[in-house]
Amino acid sequence: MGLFTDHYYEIAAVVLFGIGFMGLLLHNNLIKKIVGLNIMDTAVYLLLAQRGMVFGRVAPILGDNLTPSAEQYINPIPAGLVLTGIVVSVSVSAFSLALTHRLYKKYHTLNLDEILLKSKKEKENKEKAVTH
Amino acid sequence: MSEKHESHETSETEYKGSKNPFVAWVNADPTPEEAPWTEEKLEALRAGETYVREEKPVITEEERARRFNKVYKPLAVVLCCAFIALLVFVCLYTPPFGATDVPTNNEVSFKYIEDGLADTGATNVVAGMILDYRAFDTLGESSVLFTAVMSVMILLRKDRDGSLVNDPAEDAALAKEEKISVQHRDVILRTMAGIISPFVILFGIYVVLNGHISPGGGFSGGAIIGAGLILISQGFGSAKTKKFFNFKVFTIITSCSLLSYAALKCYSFYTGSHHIETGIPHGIPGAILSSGFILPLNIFVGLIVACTMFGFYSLFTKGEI
Amino acid sequence: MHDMPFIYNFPFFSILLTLIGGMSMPFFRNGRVAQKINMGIIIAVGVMNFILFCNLVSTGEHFTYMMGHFPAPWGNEIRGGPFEALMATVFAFVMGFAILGGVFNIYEDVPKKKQYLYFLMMNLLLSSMIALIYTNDMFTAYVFIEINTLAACAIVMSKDSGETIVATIRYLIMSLLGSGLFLMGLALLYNITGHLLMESLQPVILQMAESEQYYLPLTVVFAVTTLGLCVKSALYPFHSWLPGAHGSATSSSSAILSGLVLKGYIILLMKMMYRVYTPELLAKLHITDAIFVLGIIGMIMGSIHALRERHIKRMTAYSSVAQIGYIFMGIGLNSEVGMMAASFHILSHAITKPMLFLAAGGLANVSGHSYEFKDLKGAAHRNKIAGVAFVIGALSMIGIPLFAGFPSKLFFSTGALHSDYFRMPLVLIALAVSTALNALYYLPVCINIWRMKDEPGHGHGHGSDDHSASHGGEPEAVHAVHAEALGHGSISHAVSHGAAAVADAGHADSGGHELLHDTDGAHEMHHGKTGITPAFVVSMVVFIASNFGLGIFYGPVMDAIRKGLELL
Repeated sequence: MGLFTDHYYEIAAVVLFGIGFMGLLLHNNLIKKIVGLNIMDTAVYLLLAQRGMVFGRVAPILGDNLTPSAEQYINPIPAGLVLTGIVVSVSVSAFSLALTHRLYKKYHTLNLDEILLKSKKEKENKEKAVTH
Repeated sequence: MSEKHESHETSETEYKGSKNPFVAWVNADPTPEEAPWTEEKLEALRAGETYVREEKPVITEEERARRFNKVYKPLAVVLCCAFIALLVFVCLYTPPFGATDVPTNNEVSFKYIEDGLADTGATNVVAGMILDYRAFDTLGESSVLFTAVMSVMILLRKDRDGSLVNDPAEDAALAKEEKISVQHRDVILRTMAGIISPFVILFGIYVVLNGHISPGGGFSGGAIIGAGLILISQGFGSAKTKKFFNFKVFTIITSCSLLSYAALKCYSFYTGSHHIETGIPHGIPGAILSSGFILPLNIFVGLIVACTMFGFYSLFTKGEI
Repeated sequence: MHDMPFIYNFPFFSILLTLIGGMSMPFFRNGRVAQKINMGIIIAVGVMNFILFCNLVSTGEHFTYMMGHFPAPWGNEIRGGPFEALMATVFAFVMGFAILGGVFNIYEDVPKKKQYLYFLMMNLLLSSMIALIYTNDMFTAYVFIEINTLAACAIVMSKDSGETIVATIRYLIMSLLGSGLFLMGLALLYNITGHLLMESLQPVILQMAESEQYYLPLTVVFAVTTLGLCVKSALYPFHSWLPGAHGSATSSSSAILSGLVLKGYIILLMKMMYRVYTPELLAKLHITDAIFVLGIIGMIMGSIHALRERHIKRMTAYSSVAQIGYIFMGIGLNSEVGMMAASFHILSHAITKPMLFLAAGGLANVSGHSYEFKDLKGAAHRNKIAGVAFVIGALSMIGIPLFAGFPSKLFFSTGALHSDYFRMPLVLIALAVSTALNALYYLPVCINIWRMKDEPGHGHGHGSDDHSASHGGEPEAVHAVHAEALGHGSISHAVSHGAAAVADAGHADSGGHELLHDTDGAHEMHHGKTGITPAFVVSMVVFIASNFGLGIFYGPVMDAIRKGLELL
């Protein structure tokens, strides 16, 4: 049992990752897919952020302390990585939502399967129009 | 081959009869939907019987998708569960949460904490790390944001010369909505936006300017400024924001900030790799004007993020900036 | 390090130059100007990397370049060697000519006000690919992977139609899945090792591997990062997004996506294999076995899918799935020779596939913008240079001697002979089957585009009443069938046609019109333009020449690759 209690943040993170992954695979609704992706990304940030934590130490803002020692502050690297990751995830979400917006305008549905069917039909109709 | 030559002299029916897979392959024809013409069928035709084409049960696309999902969904669930179990198992091998002697607390993070102030002049170690030690990553990160806003622009920006993005009906609906919102202003929203937004933007500027000495920095501060701009646009209508923030301003601010950012970083990368001193003073630790390039870099990042956030908002709502 | 040669700055200059070029594009807002700037930057990048490559090969050195004032474990770093410089040179070369060859279609397909954004994306794409090649840090790789993903999606969807947007969203979702997996693997790796830099990671990982209890986490971490990159480079079971995205985009985009973007991730994977995981450890953990099996399945299944297609670009896209299978199979061979063969195949596919896509685009331009086989019948007579290029590309993909595809198949078989007795028969059988399948789907298209138009029996509805016209066309087609079947005869056939076509390219415009008058309206001309511009001809000729060049003078290239892999 000790094994699990030592790692509860990480286990929560990887379970969240799996939930996001499953959402991405199972849902046909594009918005839900994008939410799944965001959950996946967030889970990775949780995994990274928990790694930075060290009991009894504080965030690496030095303030007036001009002779810092590594014993006082937590690891700053995960914070930087998470920051970068968040910006990347914002960009990617915006892009995928813009694509969804365009698709909804064109096909009036958010269901990816229906969109695929409709676009296939549209293509077939266009071909028929060309051949006749 | 000989079969094919003969076929010219014979009738159409005969020709079809000789249509063998090789000829179909050379012609790159679609796979024949009908059953191949067998001798018996031809005989039957010649004898004057009517050949009834056998109807194959038609599988619609919907049916095919349903069948696919029937297999795919349980499989995906099983796969995901197995994946989660595997990852949980891996987690048990990682060092425990909050422990001191873990691999990540190594010479790299020690150096960032202990020498960060002397190396970069920033009392916020994270800011020093992302804008000086690992500045190349951060340059890439700003480029991701830039790429995203430009891609959204390709998708959603309306052209006046009538591209596919334009939809007259929707434009009319938007214009109508705008008109209604101008005539019937939401008093609560407008008043509160008027009161709050200056403070929001001021706070954003504070966060950006103090990025190197306190928590915050260009990314968080820029996001706050962007939120303030969105609030103004919501409260007073887009016409008002357009007076000071249009497409031209957006382009100039975004591109100029990014270019200045890249130029500053070019200078420090180049001097760094050639072991030349930059000649930029680090100043007094904790003062606003300190830590060399980090303050201007934070300002540029803040401008980029603020513009990008507002750009996303207005592209999504109106299709223009 | 104080007396670092000036040319070691070139990778840094390439990355920054392309990034800055992309960032400054919004000031011009004009497609033509943007294209000229983009071309200038690509040429500069190509020349710089070529000089660097020549220098590194002759001196046999590699170097690390600090991005900032702090050395390895603290600051960011890039690393260059002959392998990286070679790949970057080829990438710039192929990208330049792919844009040049498809520029007619770009101006036609992309809305006018958004053309500068297309070239902006090209700049960012090149920048991210060069950064992926030269990076020495896993997290930098992740950031540039994301730029690459977004820019690649943007060049797919810039041809604005429902079909491309559907293709883009599928592409984007699969790509994001891949980068999510990569990031997860990276986070776990950082968790257990505490490093992000490739150089510092390797000793820690080797130390962990010595104590056997860390086998499971290492296997999972390697598998997850590798899987992420495999999804992004369309290894067989994860290929579903590829045909749509590559089949529906404008020709230049398809060419660059197929030829370069997929390879960027594979090169990163190879670099990680050598510089982080080490091939021995991967073999011990059976990661290479998995890659090998998927590669073999991909080689066969990609070709089988291609066989079913009646859309020339989708067929070519499925052929890319098969070729990616070849590359992964080579990586999975667990030997130096296999790795060299895979690297060589990256090059040969990178110069062949763009040519095929551009030629397909050129053929479609003179066939009423249709990519269906039935409409492309005889298209090569209307656009001769594209027809020749398509035939040469197809022969190269099949693996006929003298073309670029042949040496890579030769090296794959050599690699198979050097591997264990379990892999050897599998590789040889898969190579034989896949070659036969390649021939099965490429040759009919080649014959079809070169045969005269109105022949009986091609069965699309309106052929029945022009029997009399058909007799002229028949013998040539039959002759073509014989020639292709004989294999070596086909080369002379294609070459003689090639010489004629280059001479004829100028007249093709008028010839095309004449031929088109007696068709039944299916191939109406679009604004009376055929798209056979001087830029297109130049690009096709260069691609054909480089294909022959790589096919004949493969020795020096292979030596350079060997040296590069040793120094990796």
